[in-house]
Amino acid sequence: MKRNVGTLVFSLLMILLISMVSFAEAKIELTVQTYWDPAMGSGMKLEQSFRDFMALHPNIEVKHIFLPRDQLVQRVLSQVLTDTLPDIVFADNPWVRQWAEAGVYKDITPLIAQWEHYEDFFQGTRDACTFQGRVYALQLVTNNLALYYNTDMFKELGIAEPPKTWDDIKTISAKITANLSGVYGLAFSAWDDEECTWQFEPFLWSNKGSLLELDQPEAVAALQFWTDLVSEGYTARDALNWRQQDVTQQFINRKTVMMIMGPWEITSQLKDVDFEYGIVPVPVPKAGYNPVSPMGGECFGMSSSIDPSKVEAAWQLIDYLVSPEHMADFTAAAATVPTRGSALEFVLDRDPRLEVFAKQAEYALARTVVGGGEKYPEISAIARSAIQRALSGMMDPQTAFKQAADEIKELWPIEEYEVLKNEVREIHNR
Amino acid sequence: MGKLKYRLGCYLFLLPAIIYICLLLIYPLIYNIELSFRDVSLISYMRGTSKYLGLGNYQKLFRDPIFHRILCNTAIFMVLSIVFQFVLGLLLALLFNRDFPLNNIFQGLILLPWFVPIMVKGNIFRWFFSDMGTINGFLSSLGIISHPIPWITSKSLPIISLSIANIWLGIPFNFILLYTGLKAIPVELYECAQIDGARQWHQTIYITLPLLKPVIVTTLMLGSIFTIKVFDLVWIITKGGPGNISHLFSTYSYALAMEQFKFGMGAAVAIVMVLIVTAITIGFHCIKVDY
Repeated sequence: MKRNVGTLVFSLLMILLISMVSFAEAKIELTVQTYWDPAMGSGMKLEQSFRDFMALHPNIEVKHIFLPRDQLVQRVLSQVLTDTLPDIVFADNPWVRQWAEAGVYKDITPLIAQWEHYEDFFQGTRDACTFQGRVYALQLVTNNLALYYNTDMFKELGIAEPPKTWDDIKTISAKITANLSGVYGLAFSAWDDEECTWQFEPFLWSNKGSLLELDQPEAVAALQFWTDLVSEGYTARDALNWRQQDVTQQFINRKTVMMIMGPWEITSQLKDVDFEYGIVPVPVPKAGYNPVSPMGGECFGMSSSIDPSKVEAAWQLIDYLVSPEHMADFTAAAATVPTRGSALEFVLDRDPRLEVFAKQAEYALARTVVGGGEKYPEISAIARSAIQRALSGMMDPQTAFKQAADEIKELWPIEEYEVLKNEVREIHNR
Repeated sequence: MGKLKYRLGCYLFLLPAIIYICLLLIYPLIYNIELSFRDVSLISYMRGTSKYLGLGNYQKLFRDPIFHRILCNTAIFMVLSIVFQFVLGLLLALLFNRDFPLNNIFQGLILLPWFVPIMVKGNIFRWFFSDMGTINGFLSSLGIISHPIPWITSKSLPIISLSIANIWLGIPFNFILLYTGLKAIPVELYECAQIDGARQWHQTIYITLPLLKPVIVTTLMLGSIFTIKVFDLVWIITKGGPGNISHLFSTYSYALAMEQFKFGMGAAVAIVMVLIVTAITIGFHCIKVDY
């Protein structure tokens, strides 16, 4: 009898032990697929964050899969068709609405409803991740565009103030090109890529122009201004072939005194420059206009095919990533800007150079919201083709944008276009 | 019975090749054709809800001014590339077919463009042709030009500049094929001709070229196929810009499908390219090659 009890106790203990072991082994595994290279900047920081998160949550294992940016969309396409999406779906913010409509994302509105921090996120980032009133993702970081200027060269030439208006840019550029040969005033990126549309948007939007009405005088004036810069020799014609990183190279090599650029260069290409530079908002058409920047940055959501048992863990991870402390930590390491108000102060303490970008983040516009929603990639392609035609002198700005506007109008049935156009107009007139 | 078994055995050996061709060539091609008849966007692709359009994409394409430009670009690009690559490659092959000091070293140098990765070559050309680039710097230092020539930022020059880059890239290929062909011509023929009093010039016309004809046809055919499908070079140097004026079939197809997510239109462009390549190949096969 005694022996029987012993056996019973032993086997019970064994069962307990085995179940504990298997419980410990049954870690919840989450996969996250991003285009942030783990060898540097954001990717390196993200993997560090995952390790910190796993230390706090020993039952969750987070795996990071890195893909180059141009391969990510293609991979997601095939993953949707084969039902093999990663648990956490990462996307550049202009992709989110389109992917939500295509059924890539899980609707996280119910989780957001029980969460008190959502209102803390800036409007632009909330808009970018919302489709037909439902929330699909949260944005971790944001960035936007500003004007960088070489303070040393400004001093040498006796230029007291950085430019505030388009006229200021021209006056300063005239002074630069008259005094220094081979040096240009302003550099921007206008190659045949989203980067061109993106760099043009602050000029278009601060003049209250709309991507859906490129034939209107506000939009044409913005293109006229860019074209003037090139034709008057204030901006190199080579801008038509410059990627954003080439623009920074021009700035570093003192071939240009001002450039349009985002915050990320502060900790990458501009890290070791041997001159002083300042950052101000992108100049506006006239005094009294407000600078408006397009909003960049990446978002995290859950895949529509996520296993229900993983949802809680996935939400814990997203909640951790977008918490103000982590967000501040992350953005300071990667030289980007937080997406929520309460994280802002932490960041400015760490790097005051981010101030302009941080201030602009609050009012930056999501490209999909004012650029035709899921048709934004097409609209951007049409717009930048017209911009390139004007800058290269093939067409005058008026004709180029008239053609583009006609093409864009045809993307929708006419009534639908009218509604959309008026919605966007309202946003720009706010 | 035995014969049938033997035949089955033979087909068995062909099986891997047939499977390979079906999976990696025929299936994608059919899939592409099917895509080109549909209105496929990112959303309808993911949801599987694309509408059947019939020839709609093709009609749209043939009305598209960018497409007209591409036909024109492709013609210029092919003629310039093929003619110059071939002539320069042939001249070099004839040159290296003779003995002279350091022949081997120079041959190695000619092949150099082949060993450089296309990313590097493309970016070097982008810089080479830019307003502040090497070629403009050189010309203005000689006092030939006062303003930089917009090699890759103007209305009509970009396709010419791209052709120049492609010619440079294609010379080694033409050279190596033609050179190998030359080496295969028996020396005795030249010796006979010399005894009969034929001059160098006559030898080239009456011996070298006729015997080289099969190699020449192959070189031109492969050259045309490689030229019509050039992608990376254009993508890196101009990306089809400025204002979509320097696109080729491949770059436009990629831009439509992968940047604007108009998969149906992208597929239609690719199919047109495939048809043209097929026509060219058939054309070359029709040229009689007699030995």
